[in-house]
Amino acid sequence: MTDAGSTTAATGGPNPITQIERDTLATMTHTSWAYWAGLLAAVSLMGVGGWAWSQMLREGMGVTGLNATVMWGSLITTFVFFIGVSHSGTLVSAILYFTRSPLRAAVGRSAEAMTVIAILTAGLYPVIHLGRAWLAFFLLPYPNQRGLWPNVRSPLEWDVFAVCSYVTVSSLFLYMGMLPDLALLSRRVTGWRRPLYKALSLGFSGTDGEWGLFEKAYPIFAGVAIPLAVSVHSVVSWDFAMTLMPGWHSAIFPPYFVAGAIFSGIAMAVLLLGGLRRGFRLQRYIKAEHFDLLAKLLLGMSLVMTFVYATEFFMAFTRGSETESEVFRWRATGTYAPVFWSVILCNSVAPLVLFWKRARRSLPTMVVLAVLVTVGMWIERFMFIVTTLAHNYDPYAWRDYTPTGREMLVCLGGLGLFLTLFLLFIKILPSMSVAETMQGEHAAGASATEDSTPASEVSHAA
Amino acid sequence: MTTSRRGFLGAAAGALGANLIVGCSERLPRYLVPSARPSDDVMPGVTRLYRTVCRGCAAACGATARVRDGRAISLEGNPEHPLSGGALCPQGQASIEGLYAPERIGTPRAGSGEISWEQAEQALADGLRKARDAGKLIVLLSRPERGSMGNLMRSWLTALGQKPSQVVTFDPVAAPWVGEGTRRAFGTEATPVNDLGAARFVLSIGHDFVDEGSPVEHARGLADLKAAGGRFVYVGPRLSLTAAAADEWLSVAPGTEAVLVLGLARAVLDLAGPAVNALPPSVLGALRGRLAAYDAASVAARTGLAAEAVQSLAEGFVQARPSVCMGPGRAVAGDNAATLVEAVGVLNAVAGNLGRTVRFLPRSQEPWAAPSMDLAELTRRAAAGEVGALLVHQANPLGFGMAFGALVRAMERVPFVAAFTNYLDETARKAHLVLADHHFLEAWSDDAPRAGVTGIQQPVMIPVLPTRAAADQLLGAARALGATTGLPSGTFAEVVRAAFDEKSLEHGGRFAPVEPEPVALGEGALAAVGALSLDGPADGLPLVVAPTLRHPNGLVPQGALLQEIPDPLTRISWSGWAELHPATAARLGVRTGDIVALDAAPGHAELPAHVTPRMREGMVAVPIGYAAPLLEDRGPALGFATRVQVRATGRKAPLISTREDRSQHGRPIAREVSRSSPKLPVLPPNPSMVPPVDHPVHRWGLAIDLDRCNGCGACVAACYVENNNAIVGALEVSRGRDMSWLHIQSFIEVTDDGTRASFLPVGCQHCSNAPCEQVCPAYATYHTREGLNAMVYARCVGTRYCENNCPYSARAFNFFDHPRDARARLGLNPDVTVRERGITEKCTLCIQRIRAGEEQAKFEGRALRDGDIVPACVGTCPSRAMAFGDLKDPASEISRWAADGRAYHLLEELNTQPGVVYLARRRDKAST
Repeated sequence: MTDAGSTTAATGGPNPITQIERDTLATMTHTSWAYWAGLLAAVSLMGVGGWAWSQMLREGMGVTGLNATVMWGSLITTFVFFIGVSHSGTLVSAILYFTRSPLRAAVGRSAEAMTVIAILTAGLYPVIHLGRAWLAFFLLPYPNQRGLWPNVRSPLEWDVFAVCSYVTVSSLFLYMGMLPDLALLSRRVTGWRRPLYKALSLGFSGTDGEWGLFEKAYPIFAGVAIPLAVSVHSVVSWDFAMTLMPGWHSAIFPPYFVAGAIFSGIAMAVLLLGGLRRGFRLQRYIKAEHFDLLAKLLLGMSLVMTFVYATEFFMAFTRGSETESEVFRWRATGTYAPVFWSVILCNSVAPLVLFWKRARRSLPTMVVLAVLVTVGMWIERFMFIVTTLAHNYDPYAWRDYTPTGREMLVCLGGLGLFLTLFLLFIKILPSMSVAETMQGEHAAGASATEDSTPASEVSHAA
Repeated sequence: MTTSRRGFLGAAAGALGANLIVGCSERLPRYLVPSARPSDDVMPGVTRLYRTVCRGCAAACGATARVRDGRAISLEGNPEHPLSGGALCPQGQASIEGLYAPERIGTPRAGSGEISWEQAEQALADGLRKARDAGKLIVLLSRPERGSMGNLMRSWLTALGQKPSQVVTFDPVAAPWVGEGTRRAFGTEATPVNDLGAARFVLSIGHDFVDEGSPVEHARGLADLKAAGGRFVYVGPRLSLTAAAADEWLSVAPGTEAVLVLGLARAVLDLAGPAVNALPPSVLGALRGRLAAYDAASVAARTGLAAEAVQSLAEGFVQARPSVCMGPGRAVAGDNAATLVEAVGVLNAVAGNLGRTVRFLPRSQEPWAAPSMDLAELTRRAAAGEVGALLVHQANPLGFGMAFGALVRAMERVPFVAAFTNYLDETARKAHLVLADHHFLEAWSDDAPRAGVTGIQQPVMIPVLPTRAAADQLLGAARALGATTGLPSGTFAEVVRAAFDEKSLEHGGRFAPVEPEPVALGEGALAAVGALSLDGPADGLPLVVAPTLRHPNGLVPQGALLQEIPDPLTRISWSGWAELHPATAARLGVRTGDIVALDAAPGHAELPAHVTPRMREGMVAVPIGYAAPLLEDRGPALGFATRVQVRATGRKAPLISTREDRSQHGRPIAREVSRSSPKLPVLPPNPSMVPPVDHPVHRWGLAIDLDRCNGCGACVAACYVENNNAIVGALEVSRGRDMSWLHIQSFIEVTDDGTRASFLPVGCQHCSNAPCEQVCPAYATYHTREGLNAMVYARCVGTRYCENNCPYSARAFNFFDHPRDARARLGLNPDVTVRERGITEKCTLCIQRIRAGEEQAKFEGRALRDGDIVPACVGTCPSRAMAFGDLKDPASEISRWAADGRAYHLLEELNTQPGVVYLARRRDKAST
C-alpha cells in the first residue's frame, strides 16, 4: 500500500499513515482477553448447537417441537432471520459506495463480511431442517443416477439458486474490495501469513493501472449486488408467498421481506460496529455521525415495517377471505398474541425513540435498540410462520407449536457460528478498508481536520 | 479332521432319522418363517382369502382373512355373512394385531416361570385330579361360547363327573336386561332382533347401536334407513356416535326414559292405529288403564321435554310405517333397564312393528344355551371352599379392578386356577397355571351370535407361537384322568370340521333364515311398572357408561392400534376421560384436562375431564373400558354403578388435547344440505391459464357419503393395518404426530337448534392441481397419469413443504423411527414399504390394490371392471359410506355418486380439484 500511502503523506502531521494503518488493522494486531473470551463463548455456543443438531440427526426431527400441522418452526425462522441479517451488508455497502458516503470506509467491510458469514450460516438451516439431512444434495441440479432434476416449480429450489448466487456475488464483492488491503498486508506481516496474503492479493501491487482497473471493476460488482440482494430476499419470501396458506399467500411478501431484511441487517451492523468500536478503540473511524446515519436508516425501516404490518392486516380483513382474516385475528389475540405484540413493541414502537437526536447519538441506546430489533425480527419471522400454519384452512388440524430446548440450542448454535466466523474474520482479514479510510481521511483532512478528532463525539458511556 | 466315507454315511443316516422323527411329531414351529418350498396352498406373492369369524368382540361377525405367504396380514368382512355384510368395525380390524402382539405369550407358565407343554399338561391333569378326588367342584369361567366350544365345555364337565351348568359365562358387555324385560312384556324367552334397514323411523332410547351389540349390522341398517329417507331420533343423555348420526337428539331427565316411552305408547294408543285395534280387548283395556297416568302433560313435566315434542314424536312414530323403537342401551341402562325394555316392547307392539322391524328369534336348543351358574354363585361357592379347580377361558374378570374384590378373595381359596389366555392379564397373573391359547385366527371353532347364523372360525395360518388350543388341552386332561365318556376321541378341530360340510366352510358358516317366533303382547305387560328413576345416593351424578368400538369386551384393549386411533368425538387417544357438561364442570370447578375422581360403591376411578356441550347437564359419562372399576357383580348379572361422586383432584392430565373449540368456523368442510332440497350450489368453473391435467386412461377417485358415515373409524383402523402405518404411542400422539393417513375429522357446533356433531374421514384428496406437488423440490410427490398423488419415498428428503402447503393437512411425517419387534414384523403387508424416519407419507388410495386389480384384469385378459379394486377403507366401511372407482368411467358407481347434487370437494374454492368427492349430509335444517 505504499503507493496509496504516498498520496496521503502530503497532509503532514505526526505520521498519519502509520497511525491509520495501525488503527484500522488494530483488530488484527491486538488480541485482548475480551476477544478470547468472546471467541470462547461463540465457539461454545456453536459447539452446543452442534451437539443439539447431532441429536436431531441421530434421533430424528422429533427432537423439535414440530407437529403434523406446524411443520416449519424455529429452524426456518432462523434461516429467514440470517438471510435477513445477511441482506443489508452487501446492499448497504454497495449503496454507500455509489453515494460516495463517508460512512462506507468505516462500515463497508464488516458489513460485507457479515453478509457472507450470515448467508453461510443461513444456508445451513434448511439443511438442518430436512428430515433426511444427509440427502440434501438431492436438491442440487447435477446429472445423477436417479435421472432426475430438481423440481424447478418449487420455491424451495429457487432458494437454492438464490442463496448460491448471493453467496457467490457477495463473496466476490467482499474479496474484490479487500484486494488492496491484502496487498498491503502481505508486505506488513511475516511468517505463515505472508504467503497467504500474497496469494490472496492476486499480485495487486497498487500501480495506477491496477487502481484504474479496480475502480472500473468494483462498481460492476456493486451494481450486481444491489438487485441481487433485493431478489434474494424476494425469492426467500416466495417460499411463503407462493403457497396457498392464509397469511402467507400475499403479494406484499417480497417488499416486506426485503424491508425486514434491511431492517434487521442495519440492527446487526449497529451491533457489530458498536462492538468493533468499543473493543478496538476505533472511535476515530467509526464515529457518532455514522451511528446517527444508521439510526436514521433504522428508524426509516421501522416505519416501513409498521406500514407493512398495517397493510397486512388491512388486506386480510378486506380481501373477503374468512380464513385469512381469522388467521390475522388469531395472530393478534390467540395463543401467540404475546409473540405478536412483542414484535410490534420491538420493531414498531421502540425504534420511535430515534426521532430524538440524543437517542441516535447514544451508543448504549442504539445497542439496546439494535438488540430489540434483532430479537424482534427473529420472533417476527417465527410469528408469521407459526401462526399461519397453526391456524390454517382446516380447523380440525389446528394445533400450537412450541420449540423444544434442543431446537432452540440449534438456533443459538447458528448465532455461535456467526460470531465465531466474524471474530475469526476480524482477526485474519482487515475489518476496515485501509485504503478507503486513508482516502477518507485525506478528504476529511483537506476540508476540516479538527472534526476528525474524538472531541466531537457525544456521550459514549463506558 | 478327516471323515471316512463309512462314517459320513452313518452320520447322514443318523441325521435323516432324527429329521424323520422330528418331522413326524406335532409341527409347532417356534417362529413362522417362509419356507423355501411352500405348501400347496401358499403361492408366494399371492393373497389367499379364508373365511372365518372375527372374535374381536361378542358380535362374532363373519370375516375374511387375507393371507400372504402363510401369514394373515389383514381381516375384512365376509360379504356372505348376514351380520358383517362384508364389513368390519375398528375392533375387528384391530383384532389381527393380537396375532403378532409383542405382549402375547407363546408358552405355558406356572408360578413365575415358563414351563414345557408336557409339564403344563401334567399340571393341568394333576390339578383337576386333585379337585375331583377331593370331591370338589370344577368350574369353567369363559367368555360367551355359543357353539361347539360351549357344548364341549359342558360335555367335558359331565365326563369329569361335574354338573354341565358349571360353566360361568363372563360377559361384562352383555345386556342382561333384555331377557327379563322381554319376558315381562311378552312372556317369551326369544330374543328380539331389530331390522333397521326395513324401518322408516327409528327411535333409539339411549341405545348406541353402532357402538355396541352388533355394530356392523346396525351401522349398515342405519345408513340404509337414512338413504331411503327414513328418520332417526335419539333420546339419551349424551351426543354419542349413534346420536350424532340421528336427525334429532333429545335428552330427558336422568332415569325418565321409561316415562317418555310409556307416554309415547299411550299417545300411540290414543291415535288408535290398526295395530292398536288389532289388540285383544282385554289387553287393550289393561294397557289403557296402566298407561292412563302417562298423558303428554305429565310426561313432559317429568322428562323435561315440551308436551308438543312428545306428541309430535308419537305421531311421527306411528305415521312412518314401519317404525322401530330400540333400546335401552348402556347409556340409560340404570336399575330400571328391564322396565324400559318392557316399555319399548309395548311401544313397538302398539305401533304395529312386531314381525316387521322387531322379530323374535327363538332361543337356541343347543346345550351351550342351557342355564348355567352365574358369577355371584361362583364367588360364593369358591369363598366357601367348595371349588377345587377353576379354569378361566379367554376371560379377564380381574381386569375390572377392585370391582371383583370378592372374586379375588374367593379365588385365593381355590387350590387350582388355570387360565387359557393369549396375554398375561390380571386374571392370568393370579392363576397357578397359564396355558397359552391360540389366537382365533389360528384355531378351529364356531360361534352362533343369533339363531340362524353360525359362523365357522377357521384357522387361517400355522400358529405364530407354540401355543395349543384350549379345547384340546381340556380333552387331553380328561383323557389323562380317564374321563372320556361322551367326549370326542380326536381333536377339537376334527369336531368342528365334522360339524360343517365343505360348502359352509367356503361360505364361512351356515346361514339360514329362521322363522321368527310369533309373539304378542300379554295381559301381564306393564303389570308392575318398576322403579322409574335412578336410585343411589342423590348427591352423586348419574353415570353414563358410554360404549365405544375401542374397548372390546368392556376393557381397554391389550393392542396398541385401538388406543392409538383417537376417539372421534373427543379426539382423545391413549387415555380415558370423563365427559361433563360445561355447566356441571363449572360447578365442580373443573376444566378440560383436569383430573377428576369418580367414586361409587364398586370402586374408584380417576380420569381427565372432557368438558363438552355434547353431554346433558348434571351427569357424567365415561367410556366403557375406563368405567371398568365401576363395574360390579349384582347377583345374576354384572352392572355398572348408576351414580358416582365426582370431585376435582387438582391435578392435570399431561397428554390430553385440551382444545375445547371444535367448531368448523363456518368453513365448507363437513357440509350439509336440507332434506327438502338436497342440492349444493354449484361453483362457477375457475378460469385458468394452464391446460387442465390430463388423465388418459383412469382417474381414480374416492367418494364418501357423509349421510351414511357415522364416524366409527373402521376405515382408519383398516388403513393402519393395510399400509403398515407406524403406531407412535401416547406421547407422540399428544404432540400431534400420529402416522394415520386417514383422520375422522369431527366438528361440534352449538347452534340455536342444539348441539350437533358431524364427521368426515379426511385423507389425501388426490388433487389434480395439487399444492403439495408444486412445492416439492425433489419430485418426491408427483401426479400420476391415473390421477393419483403419488409419493416416492426414496426421493423424499423431508422438507415438509408439501405438508405445509396442504390445506387438508393430509400428510404425516416420520418424526422418529418406530421399530417393530421381529414378531410384529410378521404381520406387515409385504406390498407396502415400511417408511423410515425423515420422510413424509400419506394416503395412496391403496395403490398396491390398484396395481393388483389391474394386473389381475390383465392376467385374465379383460378390461378393468368397476369394483375390481377396493381400497382397505372402502372395503371395511360398515355403513358402506365409501366408493372407489374411475371418475372417467361414467358408468362407475363413483361417477354416479359424484354426479349427485350433494357432491362437493373439500375447500372447493381453492381450486385444488380433488379426486375425493364428499356427499353432503342431509339434515332437517342445513347449517353449511
